Amino acid sequence: MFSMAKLHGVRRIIPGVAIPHPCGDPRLPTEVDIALRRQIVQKALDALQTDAGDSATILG
Amino acid sequence: MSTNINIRLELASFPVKDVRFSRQTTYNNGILEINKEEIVALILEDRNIVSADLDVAFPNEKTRIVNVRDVVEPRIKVSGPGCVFPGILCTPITVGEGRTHRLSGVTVMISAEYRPTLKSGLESQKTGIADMWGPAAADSPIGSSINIVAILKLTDSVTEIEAYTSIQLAELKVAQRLAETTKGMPHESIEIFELSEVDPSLPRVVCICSYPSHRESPPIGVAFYGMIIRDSLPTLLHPNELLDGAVTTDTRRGWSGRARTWDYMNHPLVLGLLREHGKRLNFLGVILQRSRFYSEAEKRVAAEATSQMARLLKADGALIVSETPSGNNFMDTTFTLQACERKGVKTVLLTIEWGETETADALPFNVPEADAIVSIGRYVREFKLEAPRKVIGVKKGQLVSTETLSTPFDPWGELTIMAFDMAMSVDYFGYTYRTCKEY
Repeated sequence: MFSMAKLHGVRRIIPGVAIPHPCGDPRLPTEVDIALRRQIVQKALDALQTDAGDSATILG
Repeated sequence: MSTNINIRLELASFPVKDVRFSRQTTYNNGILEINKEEIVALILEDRNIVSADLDVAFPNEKTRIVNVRDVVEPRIKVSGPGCVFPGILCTPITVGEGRTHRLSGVTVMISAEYRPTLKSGLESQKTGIADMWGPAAADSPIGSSINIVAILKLTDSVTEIEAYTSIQLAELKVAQRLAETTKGMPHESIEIFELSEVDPSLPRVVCICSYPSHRESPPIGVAFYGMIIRDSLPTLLHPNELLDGAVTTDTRRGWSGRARTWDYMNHPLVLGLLREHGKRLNFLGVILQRSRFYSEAEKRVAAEATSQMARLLKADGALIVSETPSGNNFMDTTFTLQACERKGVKTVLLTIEWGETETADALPFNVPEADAIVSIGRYVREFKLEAPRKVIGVKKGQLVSTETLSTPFDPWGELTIMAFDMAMSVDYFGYTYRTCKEY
């Protein structure tokens, strides 16, 4: 829900999968889901190490 | 044969001034007599229902109804295709034509107890409370109507889907049987609803009604012609279809967190638009939109499809209404509004506000295009209710709870309760005069 995050002034936004499971997708086979989860969390960690500036940045 | 697009519904009213138990089930001069044994036997045809009883709650009496599940208005089709509650009481045939009889000023309400298998979560069972006097009665259409309450107990082995079905069938069968008494009787008034050809200069208006659904839930919830809608894109319908009960709701959840079947049958916005058709506007139809999609992309797809439908109908304007103010649903609603405006369809949003605290945001999300909003009241409100003289639904000493894991309470005492835990106390569609004001 990056529109919601943006509206509330969040500066680093990583799009997740869906509201009930933002950091993964239970519909995927377990190994693929684990890889996806790792990818999303890694993106978030990378984002924290970048200068987001004053405006919202969507880091897909 | 040419296509018949002249859809015309005559809705004949048979007002009920009193309800009495009697040896026969009849309607005469505003008096509805009910043979209790006959109605109970009709309910007990369902083997999932172990016991059934019937009671009547009158306005201004100190009566409290508990375990409320769903409410309908008794209606029956006397001519035209299909039946009232199509897809449930008859095969799914497009309704909204011919003549329908309604017993007005009266409802059929179900108070039901069962052992839930789904203990918590968005789709677990919930019950509502209805008071016939005091502040809660003044706040709900139930408070000013005579309510015929069927009290059901289901078997312990019942599944959630079976509970939903049994409660619904009991409710709709009783409503149909009672409305049957109007056949051959003179009506008091009649209203004709049709979307006839009108002055082409009148503004073209569509009504977008959204309702939440969950993909992962059991097949229970808002249904269109008896089919539970879970993962649907928008559906276009003639407003008359709603009047004939084409849309029904989850009969296991009688609280005010969602609209009831009664609300869809008496949808004030749809009725208002029908009555203004040809006078101030040209009513094009109702778009039923499933909301609460899980990802932003899905929400956008539904919003784009809905707004495209409005554009293809050549709508000048859209009235948008949703059965919940929750953030997840509200995003779908605002995206739809935005997509309509971008396609040149002007919008007015009709919504309740949260109003949890003085400082809380009234709405969970907004877009710049949402610049015409009608506030229809507050979601978070508290009632302080007096002790009743009579309780329908449980015996003296028996406790009730409004959801499976909440603390049970004594319904015979005073009550401090949130409006959304009452039955039909939150107005999503605008039938009351409530609004929010900042002082």
